[in-house]
Amino acid sequence: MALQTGQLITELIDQLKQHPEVAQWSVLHEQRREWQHYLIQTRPEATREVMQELYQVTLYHSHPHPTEGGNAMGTATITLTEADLPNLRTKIEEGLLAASLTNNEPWSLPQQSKFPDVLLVDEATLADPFAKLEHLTADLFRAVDQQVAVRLSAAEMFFEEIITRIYNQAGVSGEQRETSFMLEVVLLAQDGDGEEMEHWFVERRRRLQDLDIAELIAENAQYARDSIVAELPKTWQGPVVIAHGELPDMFSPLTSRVSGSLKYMKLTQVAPGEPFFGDQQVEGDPLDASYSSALPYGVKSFSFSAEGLPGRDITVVKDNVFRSYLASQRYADYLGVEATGEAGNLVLQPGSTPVAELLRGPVYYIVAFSAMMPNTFTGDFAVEIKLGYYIDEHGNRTPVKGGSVSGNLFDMLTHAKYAQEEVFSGAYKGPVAVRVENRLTIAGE
Amino acid sequence: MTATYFQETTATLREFLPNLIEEMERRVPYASVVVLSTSKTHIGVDLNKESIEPNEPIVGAVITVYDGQRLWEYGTHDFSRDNLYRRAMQLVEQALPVKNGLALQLGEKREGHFTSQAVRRPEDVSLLEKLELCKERLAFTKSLDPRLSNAIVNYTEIREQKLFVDRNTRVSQDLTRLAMNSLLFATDGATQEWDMAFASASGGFERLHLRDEQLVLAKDNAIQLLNAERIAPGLYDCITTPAISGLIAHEAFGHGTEVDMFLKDRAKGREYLNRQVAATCVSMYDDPTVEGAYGSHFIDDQGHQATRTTIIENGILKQGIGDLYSTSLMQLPRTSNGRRESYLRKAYSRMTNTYFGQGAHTLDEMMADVQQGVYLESGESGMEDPKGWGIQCTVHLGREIKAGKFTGKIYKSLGLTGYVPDLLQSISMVGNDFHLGAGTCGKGHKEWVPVTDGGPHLRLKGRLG
Repeated sequence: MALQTGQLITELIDQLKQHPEVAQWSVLHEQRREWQHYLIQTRPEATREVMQELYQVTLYHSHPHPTEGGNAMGTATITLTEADLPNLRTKIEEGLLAASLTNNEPWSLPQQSKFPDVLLVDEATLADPFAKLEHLTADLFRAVDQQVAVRLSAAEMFFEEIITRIYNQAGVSGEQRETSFMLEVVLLAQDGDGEEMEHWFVERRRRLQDLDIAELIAENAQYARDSIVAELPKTWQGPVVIAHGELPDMFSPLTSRVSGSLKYMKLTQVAPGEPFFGDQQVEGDPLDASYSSALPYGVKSFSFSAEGLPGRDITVVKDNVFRSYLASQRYADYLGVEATGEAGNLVLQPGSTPVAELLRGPVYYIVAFSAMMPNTFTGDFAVEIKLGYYIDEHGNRTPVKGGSVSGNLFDMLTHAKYAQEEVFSGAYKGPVAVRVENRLTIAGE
Repeated sequence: MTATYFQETTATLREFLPNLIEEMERRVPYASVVVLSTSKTHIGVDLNKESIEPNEPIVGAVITVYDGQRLWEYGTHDFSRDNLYRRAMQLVEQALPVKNGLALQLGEKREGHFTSQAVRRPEDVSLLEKLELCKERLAFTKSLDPRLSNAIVNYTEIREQKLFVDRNTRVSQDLTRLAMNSLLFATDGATQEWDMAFASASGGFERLHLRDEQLVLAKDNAIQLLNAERIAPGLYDCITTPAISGLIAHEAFGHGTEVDMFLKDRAKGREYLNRQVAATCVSMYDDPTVEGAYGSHFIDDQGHQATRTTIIENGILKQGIGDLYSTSLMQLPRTSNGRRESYLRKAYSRMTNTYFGQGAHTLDEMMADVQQGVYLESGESGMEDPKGWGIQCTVHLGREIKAGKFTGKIYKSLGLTGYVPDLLQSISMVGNDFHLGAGTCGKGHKEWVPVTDGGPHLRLKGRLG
């Protein structure tokens, strides 16, 4: 079964080109290699290496629409491995059968274009991934040892290399190499009575060198110690400041609200040039939001999208006005707009207020939620506070946890102030914090 | 990769792997191989488009070596005998046995192949029939009310085939999980809301039914949510549906009794084994043997036979759910809960079908003396905090209760939070009904596996916001 890379792809593309019923096609060839290291306290639990190689072939079938006249298009994506080489013809026929069953408005493929060079690879770590992970483990142990009343519960480290090649009938051809790194750390803080409380965090980067372990542990160890003494917050309808670490998840409904596919499905009402917040009065800073796939070493950066559109910056909201849908080629064709590809890293424009001013009390400052999972379609959320601080008018901080913060993303952004200080962290570039005036409710004591 | 190819290959491996294991175990205390194939078919239709993704397989093998302290694993999509042999030998070179290492607790000797009962095996039902079923459910939904702006009907079929071999075990499984849902969107022109109807099963295609009354209820809910309010924060008398009961079971003492969390000192439950953690009317189980349930299996991903675990009995925490490594190190009973997201990930202690046991009360009895309360009807998501015993459940829809009756007032996006023992001690009535609902469970923020959770209606006190 051992096969040279290229044998299957050559044979596959030949067959796709020659098949009379394949109206269009595209192929994504992905090779993955991952190195994983797991720790329980100070001992290794598991060390793993995994490999995956597959071909995702999207077949387009054109046929008369059974009820509406004209032509309809159906697609099916089949996944192949090297073991499928002897059965390529059969697999293509199976895929075409599935594609022939569905009836959709036709659309085109992305055309050949130049893909930008985007920095995505950690060459230094790739030279010897397990050795680098062992080195990082030693750094982690050292950093935790320096903390008072804090110990390591567990950690997981995943370093991955992905090589993606894309081909389509319209002449698109490209290769992208990327690495990614995920670090999950669980810390336990202990109080004078021996009671323990955990605080965990996850960081993702393209390169190991972009993580400062000592700094991360120091910050999160303090959060762990604060979690032990944290109180239930008071029930509150007043200003709330949210730290940048929660903003990417909190802003996740934005990608749905500006999605070309959801516009086509009549599940979002936004229109280019129209006020993004509709009739709502905006009393805070204006919202300037974009998605960038070009940020060097951004976790969501890419040279080309999964369908073969070049990576780029897409401004979706500028000065509270909706500018552009996030649209694949299909929905761009349907809506008559430019194809932008998928969302890259979230980029928010900073404001003009220093973060120290945003944190002027009385205010609740939330550094971590238990799990920020807003409703994709509406933007509503109700989420538990993992750790926050009540800051009084004199600047005194009292740690809080438990209770919940509820509100709606789009409603709160009409009364938001963005910090002037900026951060670039993983898949987010923007202000270090956002203050929301009187749009969020804390359910507590 | 066809299912037939997988079957032929694993038939060969069934004979080859015991010899490979034997050779590896000349050098290390323990070795195993699992070959996993997860093949997913998805059909989606809405008012504007249709799609079929006929076959999305993740297929590979994991070679595991234990050196007395650490697990060494190699996962590969290439499970040819030559490759497995070469990689296995490399792995035993890496994993030098540790002196005085702890032995893993292996199961008893067992061989067999397990597959679910089915009148109609899902893989034998044509794609066209499945597509037509989705279209029919969509057409019915569309006809319900002009205020529905769109609806999406999804059908998902996941066929899991696996072969597990270690020195005592040579077992395989072929199981198909089925799920169908309809997301309904309602609009009044200015705002938009949604609700969902859901059905699931494992085994035969005949077990999957997305019923008319479920779609009608979801339609009514989506429309009522257009005028729903946010609840005033506070402590309320609550009645939870089986869906919310299940969410609480899952987040409270499902994650909280995963034995790998005990091992990491991440779960307070470790200190509370055989102690009272809930009201005496409360019992809770994890049970992969529930016939036809979405989260069921015959063997876990470490070859352990499915059995029911009693987690809480009459309010007393009895037992955790565990994988091979963590139960061995903790010296706790091994259960059938060693599960992997795919061959790309390691096995953790994971839930299967997790639920509260039934009680004796009817819903009318539970409602009767609620003066001011909330009926928590459907959930969106939850998050565990086994160390702090905190809980977060996001509830999609709640109904106001006054003087034992529904007032017609609806609340949306409610957060149910609190201290788990307080919440479970507050359970005062347990319903005589029972339902399991399907979902996908993550370990923290990743490692997604199919599960169900549920139970009966519960009456309790909950902090809502």
